Amino acid sequence: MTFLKILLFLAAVGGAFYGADCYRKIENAKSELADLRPAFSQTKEALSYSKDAWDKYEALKIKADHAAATTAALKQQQESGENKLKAALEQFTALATATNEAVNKVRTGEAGLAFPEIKLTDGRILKDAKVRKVEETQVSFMHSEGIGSVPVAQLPASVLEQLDLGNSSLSTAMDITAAGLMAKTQHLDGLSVRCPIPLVEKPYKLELKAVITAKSFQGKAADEMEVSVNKIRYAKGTALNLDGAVAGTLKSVSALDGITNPQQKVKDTKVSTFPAKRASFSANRFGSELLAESLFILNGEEMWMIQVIFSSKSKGGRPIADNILSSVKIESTP
Amino acid sequence: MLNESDRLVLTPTAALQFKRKSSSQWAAAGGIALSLLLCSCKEKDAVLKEKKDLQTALNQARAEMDTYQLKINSVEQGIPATAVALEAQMKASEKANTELTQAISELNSKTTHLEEEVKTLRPKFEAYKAKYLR
Repeated sequence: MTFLKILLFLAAVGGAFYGADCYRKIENAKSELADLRPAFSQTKEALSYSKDAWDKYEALKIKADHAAATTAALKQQQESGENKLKAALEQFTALATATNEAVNKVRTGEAGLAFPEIKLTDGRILKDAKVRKVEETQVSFMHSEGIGSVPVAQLPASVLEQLDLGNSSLSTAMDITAAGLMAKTQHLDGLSVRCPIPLVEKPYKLELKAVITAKSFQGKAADEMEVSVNKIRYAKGTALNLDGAVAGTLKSVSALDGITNPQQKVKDTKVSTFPAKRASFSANRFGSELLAESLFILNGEEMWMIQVIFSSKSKGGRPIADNILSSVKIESTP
Repeated sequence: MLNESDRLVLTPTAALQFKRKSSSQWAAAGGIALSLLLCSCKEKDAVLKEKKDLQTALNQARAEMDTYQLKINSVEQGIPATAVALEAQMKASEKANTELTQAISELNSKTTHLEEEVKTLRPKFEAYKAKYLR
């Protein structure tokens, strides 16, 4: 019994020490925990901030890299597209050159060009006609009764085909295609026009009280084609009249040196919802024909005049002028 | 669970006082001491485990933090400045891409147009040549 008591006493003493040790360790652990918790919370917060910053940066980098990779791929596509266009242009140029050579050969009579009889659409007949000079809008013949120029519109289809003139002309179709390829949209102070000739602003002054500002953009091609775009802003309240503008232009062109037989057709039209007039002018000048296709647009106190002047020698003149004028748009002011 | 003040810690004086108790009282005291010991051990284990877990989580978070810090430090100009540069670069790329796409579309359309023209005009030219240039 005493032994048991001693044993229990020892166990109780041992247990007491063990318990004390446990208590000390718990207290230590709790104290450490109290330090760890804020440290952990702080670290977690910093981690979250770093992670967020890095994730945002990485997402941005991926986007930027993707955009740069797309640029590189597009540049390759552009290069390949340019090569294809170059090849197609070479083919087209070779065909155009061969066509022009063949047409010139036929026109200049190297192929023995002579017509025993040409029935013109106005009923006249040219006998033993030999081609002297071919222009885009008229042909000069030497025939049994002398020498004379015939407008292309009066020639029969067979002659038109042989001289490669008129609406189904191969060389004209090629010139129009070439002009279309060179055409670029040009923005000229509120007006846009698709034109193969670069238009540059030139000094332009109008000594009129009612005119506030006047601007002119002009360009010239090697084959006698000229394009001009004039913009005139008048004082508020000025009564503007498109017919007056058209008549004034006709008067000034008709007054040029060497002009004979001036003719003009005018029709109403609209450009970007604004009232407009389309004028086709033709006259003889120094043995050739002078032609002008014009567009007059009225936009409040502003008047625009777009004019394409060319001669009967200009290849593809009228269709190119038509394309230029039909591309005109008045741009909305911001 | 016991509160701190409830825990039984035997002192030698208390042990002598127990001397006068009967054996059943001794057994009861031993039992109580034992159960208190067991309870203390259990709480110690729980607290130590919590501490260990928290320490592990903290170490992990620190390691992760170090990894991010390394990544962030690897960006030469620093993240804010580089991000601004990247934004500008991206905007420039997007603008260039729009322009390039438009240019490619224009190139393709011109090529197709030219190829079609050649396809249409070549036989006409050959026929013209055959008819008027013998």
